[in-house]
Amino acid sequence: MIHGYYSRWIARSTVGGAFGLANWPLINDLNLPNPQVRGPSIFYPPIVLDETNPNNLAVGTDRINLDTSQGTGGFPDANEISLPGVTGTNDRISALNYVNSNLIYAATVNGRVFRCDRAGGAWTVRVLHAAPLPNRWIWDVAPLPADVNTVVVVMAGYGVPGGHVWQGVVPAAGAATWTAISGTAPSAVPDVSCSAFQIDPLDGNTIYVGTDIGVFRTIDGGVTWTNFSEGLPNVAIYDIKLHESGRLLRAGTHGRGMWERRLDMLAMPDVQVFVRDHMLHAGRVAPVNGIASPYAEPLQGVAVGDQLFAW
Amino acid sequence: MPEGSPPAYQTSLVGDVDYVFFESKLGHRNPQRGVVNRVYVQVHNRGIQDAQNVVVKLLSADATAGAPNLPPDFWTAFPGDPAGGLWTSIGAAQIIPVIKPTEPAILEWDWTPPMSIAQHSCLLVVIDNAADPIPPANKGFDIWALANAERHIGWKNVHVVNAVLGATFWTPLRFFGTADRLYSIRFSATTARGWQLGLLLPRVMPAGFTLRGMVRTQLSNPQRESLRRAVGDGIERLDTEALYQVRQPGRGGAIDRIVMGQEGITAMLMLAAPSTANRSGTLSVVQELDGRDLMGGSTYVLNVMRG
Repeated sequence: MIHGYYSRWIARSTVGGAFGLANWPLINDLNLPNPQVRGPSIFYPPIVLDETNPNNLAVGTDRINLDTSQGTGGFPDANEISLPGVTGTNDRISALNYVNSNLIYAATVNGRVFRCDRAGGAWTVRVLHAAPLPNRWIWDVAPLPADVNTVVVVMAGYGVPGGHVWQGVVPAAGAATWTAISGTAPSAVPDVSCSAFQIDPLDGNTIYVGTDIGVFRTIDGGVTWTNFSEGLPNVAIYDIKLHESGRLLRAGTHGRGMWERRLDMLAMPDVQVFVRDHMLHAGRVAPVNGIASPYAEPLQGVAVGDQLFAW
Repeated sequence: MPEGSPPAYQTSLVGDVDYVFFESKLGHRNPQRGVVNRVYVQVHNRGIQDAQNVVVKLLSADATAGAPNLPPDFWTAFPGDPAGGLWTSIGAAQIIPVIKPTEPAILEWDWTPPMSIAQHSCLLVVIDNAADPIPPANKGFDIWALANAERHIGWKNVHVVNAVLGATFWTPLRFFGTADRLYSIRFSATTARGWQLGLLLPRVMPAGFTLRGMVRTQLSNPQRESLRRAVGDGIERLDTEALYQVRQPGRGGAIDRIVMGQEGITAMLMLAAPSTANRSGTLSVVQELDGRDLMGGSTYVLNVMRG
């Protein structure tokens, strides 16, 4: 697990994220004279793993800092990707998506969007932002699951022209062609800060957006949006992820915990009781025998990687 | 494996056991014969409404020869006690009035296992609720199938081995078979490094099995003496000339292509604590059919104590 405290303090746990500083050695220590992750960052800089190779790690500051061994390799300077026009004083990276080992999308607090392609061991950067994409803080960026050349971004702020959700079609060269997909009132994403989104891997027309007032969903590619906050407290959603195999949508809130919703049923069951067979049996599906424990449970003598069975 | 008498309870009353305590403080222990043990069961509710009047029933059984099936009248008698069978109810079924979606409930049973209870015993918990009942189609009698298919069922079959440095612990392991099928006995990789893990097979065994990550060795004299103390004259039924030992416990090992026969076999598992290091961990010994399908097994929590 990779964890950012704030700024460029970044730690890595190989024991399933167990509590204790000893379990979280720093992979970037700002107390050192020359921190390995360089460049000024936002308070919580984006830290992402390569979706196709979890050894590759990227940290966004005023540049993209890359490491090929989960941050233990020292983020060699030669691996950095500079973004044209982003100096640290005028702009910083606020969203990253490490789509695969040869493709990264990056976006900034001032509404800039970049595409980084790797070929022959070198990265090339292309500017994607262009009118009418508003000049606002971009909190999240991701391509459509079936089309890496169509990218979606969500923005913070109020009174954003066109709304907070935008889609860009990326041509072979040059900037993207941007279209607002925030919907039209009364079926629009409300004019509040949007902090995260998740596109359904099974259907690129279904997008979940986490906003300051809950989760909103479109199932028609952004033409219409509806509130999807059933059961959620009245709280800002700061991150949202979809557990693909379990069809579970999970939302991280601003101080009111983590919430989840099953997507494989129209309504959540009123009551669903279960008794745990072991630490990974969460009562959703049959407990799987012999799965490896991803974290330690010392009182049960279970270490990371131990096999767990139904008994 | 008794821990002493009187037992040292981990908590005084069930009212003191909230779910945070349960998950962060309570550890597995073995039942102690002839004295009061406390069995705790945690029940969760993943729904969006409170669960009302959740029935929880707890049973135990001798698992020396494997966990037995439920008796034929188990489900018709539930939550009462079936008329026969090899499972014994522990106390009466309890009812949890309310389980909130965000807060699991903890129940406790006081259980005094008889002095005659087998060393290898297992516990079964069955929960049911009118708003989320066990589907009738799932109300079978095979424990293995139930535990794998039903989230209303919990099967606890963990053996805690507390061994002083350098001590050797022996425990019987029963394996099952049918004629003309080949099986594997697999030792999981374990973090309990420094332990010696081995298996003694019966004196009469069909040849032809192969070793993977294991090595054939001979019992040392102290090991032979500890085995004799553990099984007495039963040592004559074992092939004490061949101890099949896991070469590297951190990687695990297996005996493949082994024939169990119609009657199955009873082997002796050797768990020898290291003499210097103090490394705990879990070990699972599982039986697989054709090296593929999991048939069952046992999990051991290996703890080293200073003598």
